[in-house]
Amino acid sequence: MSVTWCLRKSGPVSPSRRWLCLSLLLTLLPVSYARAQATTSGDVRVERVWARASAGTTANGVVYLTLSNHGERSDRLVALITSIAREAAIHETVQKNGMLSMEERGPLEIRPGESIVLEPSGLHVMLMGLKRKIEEGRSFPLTLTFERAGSIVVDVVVRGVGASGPD
Amino acid sequence: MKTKVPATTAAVVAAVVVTSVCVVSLLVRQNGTSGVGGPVLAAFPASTAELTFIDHTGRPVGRQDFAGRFQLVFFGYSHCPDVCPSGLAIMATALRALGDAAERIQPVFISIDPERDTPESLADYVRHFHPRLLGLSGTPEQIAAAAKSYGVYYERSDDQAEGASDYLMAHSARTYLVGPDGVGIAIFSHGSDPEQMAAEILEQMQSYAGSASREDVS
Ligand SMILES: [Cu+2]
Repeated sequence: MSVTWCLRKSGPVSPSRRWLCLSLLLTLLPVSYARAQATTSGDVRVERVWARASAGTTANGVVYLTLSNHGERSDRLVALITSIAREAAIHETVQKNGMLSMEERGPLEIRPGESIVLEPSGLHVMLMGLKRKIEEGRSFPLTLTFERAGSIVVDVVVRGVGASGPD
Repeated sequence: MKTKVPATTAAVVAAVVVTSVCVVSLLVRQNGTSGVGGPVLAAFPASTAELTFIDHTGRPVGRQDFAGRFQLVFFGYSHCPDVCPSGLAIMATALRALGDAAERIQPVFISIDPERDTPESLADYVRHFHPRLLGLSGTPEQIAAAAKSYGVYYERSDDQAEGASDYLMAHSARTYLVGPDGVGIAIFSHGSDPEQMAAEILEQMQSYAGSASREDVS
């Protein structure tokens, strides 16, 4: 199936083909926007998405991003999937007894009008069981699924090991 | 009722506020509830001069290797995805900000996970952060001794089965400035501003040089 198949003018376009094309376009839409500043689905916007390149031989990695809810109702981030790792989950770095460690924080609630910043030493998307190294300049996809807004696919830009932000 | 604050008073108040914010950020954060954990040097219980390690090239390291040099030290582990790269990035940025003065400082990463952080894996890790960053590991006893003299805590923080290779660690994540004599000078809490860290390091190095020359005279 190709875009030409969808755009072809000759012959009648069946309703089923129209729906198929529409849903195809809808799936493509977030991906095609991924390189841009922000990816939006429904009321939820995902932006400033980046990962730090792997240093050494670790099987763990992190993704940082900013979530915002522009709607009237709360939403919840219920699932994270990426092809680069066995498992992805929301973690928070917390301080206890003079030590820093990470705790799981899902599902993450985003209230109306709220923005949640995932950044170094705070909240992050923890990647466990990396299937390949996270390499600088080589992006990878991450799918965020929200209870109301549905799934958003973003392209994770990989910055250097010593980076502290996406820019 | 409106009170008019003279401009000079306002400036003084602003200066005091700014100064105390800077100092507080440099003080040790002992726990989550209080931002300030006491005097800067309080958590440095012992001299680090007698500590020994194995470095990332497999060579034994001791006090003679730091003779005459300041050390900027961070404890962590190479499988740490969030905190350690952030801490080392701050350290690297501070060193860059120090320019030529950074030449007198040996940046050091001490592993609190000697089981996985072999010299080979540390060699593959430290080179990413700073060209002169020295990766130190050793026996569990050597690491425990180092942690004790710095006042560093660490423990396995996983629910995984015993023997799992992808466990995580909980650990203190401060950065330590140590003098050429192996005695601690300053402690920076995790997430310190690199510019502020650089300024504080420079000041400490200058006052250290000053006190050292006074000792020579007497
Ligand atoms: Cu984590």
